[in-house]
Amino acid sequence: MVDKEGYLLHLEDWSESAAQSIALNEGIELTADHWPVIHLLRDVYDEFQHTPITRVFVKIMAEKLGKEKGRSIYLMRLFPETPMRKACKIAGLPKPTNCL
Amino acid sequence: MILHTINKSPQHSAISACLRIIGKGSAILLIEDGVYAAISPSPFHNQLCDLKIYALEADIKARGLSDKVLPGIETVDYQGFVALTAQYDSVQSWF
Amino acid sequence: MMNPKSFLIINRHSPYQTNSAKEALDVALMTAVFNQKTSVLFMDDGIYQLLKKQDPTDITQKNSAATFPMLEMYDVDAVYVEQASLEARNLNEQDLLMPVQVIDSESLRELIENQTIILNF
Repeated sequence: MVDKEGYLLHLEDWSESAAQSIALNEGIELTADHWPVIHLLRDVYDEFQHTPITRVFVKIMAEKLGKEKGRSIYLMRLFPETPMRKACKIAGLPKPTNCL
Repeated sequence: MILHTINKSPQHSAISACLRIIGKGSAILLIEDGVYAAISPSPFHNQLCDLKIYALEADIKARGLSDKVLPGIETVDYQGFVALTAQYDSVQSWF
Repeated sequence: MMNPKSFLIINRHSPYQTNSAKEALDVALMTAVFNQKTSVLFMDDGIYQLLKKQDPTDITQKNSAATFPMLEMYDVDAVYVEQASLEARNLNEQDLLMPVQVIDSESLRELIENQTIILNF
């Protein structure tokens, strides 16, 4: 079950296959590069109850996934145009409220 | 015998007002922010021996106080809360 | 570019009876995002927001405390706690969920005098 914009209504409904179908709706085919980012975003949300802005999430990616992946261009390539919104939607998290 | 509930932190006047007027045999149940009183000895200092004091477990847990509740204060769950309201003649809430 | 201003966000209220903890945090993260020098101060019952091991699932609320460690990731300059407020509540630094700077009332006065903008929650 998703809301009007395609975000999961119940966070516990998320699964990897749910992620795949949400991603397809967004025109993204999930690859091996997407999953570590999706899981990291879910972990960050779980720990901090918060979706960080792109700049901060990229910093966390650099720390957890390695320097070469901790760049906003890398995130943009995986989730084009509005990376945090798309990544959150696919990760089954609420729409980021801090998109400025 | 009255059950007095307090839902404000010890820095608020609710608790001192309640302690001024409370009678022997009555009890206090700390709920919501009232449970912060369960970790600071000052408010009940003189009366602890005469008064039965309870604190609501869900509020204790929410506020991170589980390991800090002072001896002499009994924690109760929601069912215990209901049982207490039945046990006393009336309930007064201080807020 | 504008001259950065210095913001001090003051938290004075306990975490679950109002929404002020979340509002203060949102403002602090936002001013930090705009590269403004941002500090956060906890005093009075606001101290209770920083207690370790908070778990509000049984009172069906979100744990706003979980987000505080994010302040560092957003480059918030400093998190202060007023010493007198801690002492009055029978608490000390070890009871808090993250490292903070505990300051006395005199340093607090100095801190407040040196801010461009103070926001009180």
